[in-house]
Amino acid sequence: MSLKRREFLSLPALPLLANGAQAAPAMPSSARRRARELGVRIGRLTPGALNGITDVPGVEVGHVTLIHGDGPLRVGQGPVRTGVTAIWPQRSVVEEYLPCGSNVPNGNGEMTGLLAGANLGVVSSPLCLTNTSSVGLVFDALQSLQPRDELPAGMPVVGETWDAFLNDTEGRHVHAEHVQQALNDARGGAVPEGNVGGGTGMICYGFKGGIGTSSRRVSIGERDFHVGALVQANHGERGLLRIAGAPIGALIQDLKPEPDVATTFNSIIMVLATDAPLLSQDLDRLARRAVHGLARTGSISSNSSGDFAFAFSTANPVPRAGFWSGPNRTLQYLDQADMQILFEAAADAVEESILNALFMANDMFGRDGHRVHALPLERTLAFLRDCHAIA
Amino acid sequence: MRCPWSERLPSCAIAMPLLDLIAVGNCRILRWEAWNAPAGRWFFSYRTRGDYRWLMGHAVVDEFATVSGPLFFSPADQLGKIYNAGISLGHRRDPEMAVDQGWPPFCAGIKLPAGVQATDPEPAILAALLSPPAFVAPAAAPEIQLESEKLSDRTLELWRFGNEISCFATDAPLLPRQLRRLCDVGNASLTLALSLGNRLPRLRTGALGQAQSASEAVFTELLALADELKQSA
Repeated sequence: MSLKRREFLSLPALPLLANGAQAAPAMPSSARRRARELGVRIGRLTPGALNGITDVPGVEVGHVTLIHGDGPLRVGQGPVRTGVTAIWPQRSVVEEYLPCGSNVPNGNGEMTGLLAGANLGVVSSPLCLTNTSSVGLVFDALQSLQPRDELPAGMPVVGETWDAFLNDTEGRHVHAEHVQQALNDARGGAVPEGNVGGGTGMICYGFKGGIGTSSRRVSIGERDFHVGALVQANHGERGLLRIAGAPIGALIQDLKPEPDVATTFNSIIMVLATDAPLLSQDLDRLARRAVHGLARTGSISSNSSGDFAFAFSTANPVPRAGFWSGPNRTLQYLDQADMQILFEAAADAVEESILNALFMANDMFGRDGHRVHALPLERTLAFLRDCHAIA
Repeated sequence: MRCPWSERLPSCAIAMPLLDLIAVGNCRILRWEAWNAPAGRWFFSYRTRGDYRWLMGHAVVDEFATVSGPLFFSPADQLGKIYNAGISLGHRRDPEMAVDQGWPPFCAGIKLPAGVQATDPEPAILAALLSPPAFVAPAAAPEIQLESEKLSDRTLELWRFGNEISCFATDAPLLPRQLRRLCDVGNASLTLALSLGNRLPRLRTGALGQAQSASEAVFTELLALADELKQSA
């Protein structure tokens, strides 16, 4: 069955609710495990210590997860299955701009600040990921962090994906205080994954999706660098899902969202961080490699998908005042001949981030009793063994 | 200013300006249909110069070269709020907020002169958007100039928002690449170009669409007209 957004939003509540039963906000499930912990190996490079975007020194991530209410949709009241994820490229980013680049495989979505990145080559605010309808409010909250002086405020980066299958998205439950909390709570260390932050209500290849992260450590000359990825995964058709090359989506045809609707209209936000000294034009190139990781999981960036990749480097911070005025500044850069391994790291990290979003997300009930199943890990592993994709 | 090629175009006389201006506080909105008009898209393009970057909702334009709802202009530090007003409008049109029903709101920021106070525009903007279009000549506003050239059968308008933003609108059926070239005529930090000559229907599968296209000869003369408008504005 293939339905558009409008059609599935008008679907009646499931019989479960029609019979008066109450849906739980989230189903308890057996402990979820990350893909690598279960033996799934993506690529030939070694992850960083945390296997997350926070392996890049100074990068911090915070989530605010909003889950409350159940039953029929009442706009403005719930059920609420959403949130916001904040990424600090560095805590000092408002005062020390960082080089950035981007790539948009399919632009049926929103990621603010891309024009600023393209024209100025720098990012000047933390990044936030949330749901489609909350972009304006989150953007406004981030903009309030910008310095109020004669220099024009920078353009915050806010990415979105559509969570209206589970969430009262029109109710816009993400507010400025949630953005502030996510920013304040952001930490280095292990990043919570799955149904958290902006990824709370997301669906990926017809399974529960959400936030996922991964990283790779690479050596170039005498120096080690990291490439970290974090995704808000809300994309893809079930039949296209591939895990470590195995056609898992074709093999698991049950456990579809209830009611069963196509999810081809959904999107993914891919954030790449590195401590390698890349200038903005090479961060554009790095962002393009995110698409290779996305494609390996089966996505073809559907017509109605908003697929965005945003990359930044923590090397070469530029003081705000020095960016707008002052003398020439000296920037380090990695020779482009050495970028090959970074491309590989970016593709691998994005691929594994998407898998981690799938592996770590739990089942979820949402508005009108809609249900999205988590990827069944044991069945998946069995198929992966059958396909010789894992040992 | 007569356009020498006008007689060669099919008759499509329009007696009123193409765009309706809504002014709410420091915000401005250009619209060409009522908020609850049937779903539709129009070819649209934009160009930026220098470091202009206060733009939201442009990814869909980059991808599809269409716009489906009003064009929003606000002080740069109010962009999030006016975008949220656009989201409210989109949800009112249809909870789905599809790309042919006003999503995402295309919002452009203006740098206000120092000392001008910005206020939360959303409630008033939403109320104004829900009113019927007036389609009358806009009231004079200090930062806005309108140059409109009524042709025998086509109209080209140039709207200016301060010195930063220019917006061409025409009912000539220009395709996106022509609109991009029309943007090149503008010398503002942000130039927009909208063609109302093709109203693309609701997105649907399994159907062939039709679009009119102005010839290069016609378009070249339109460019000249646009240049004259720019000089006189």
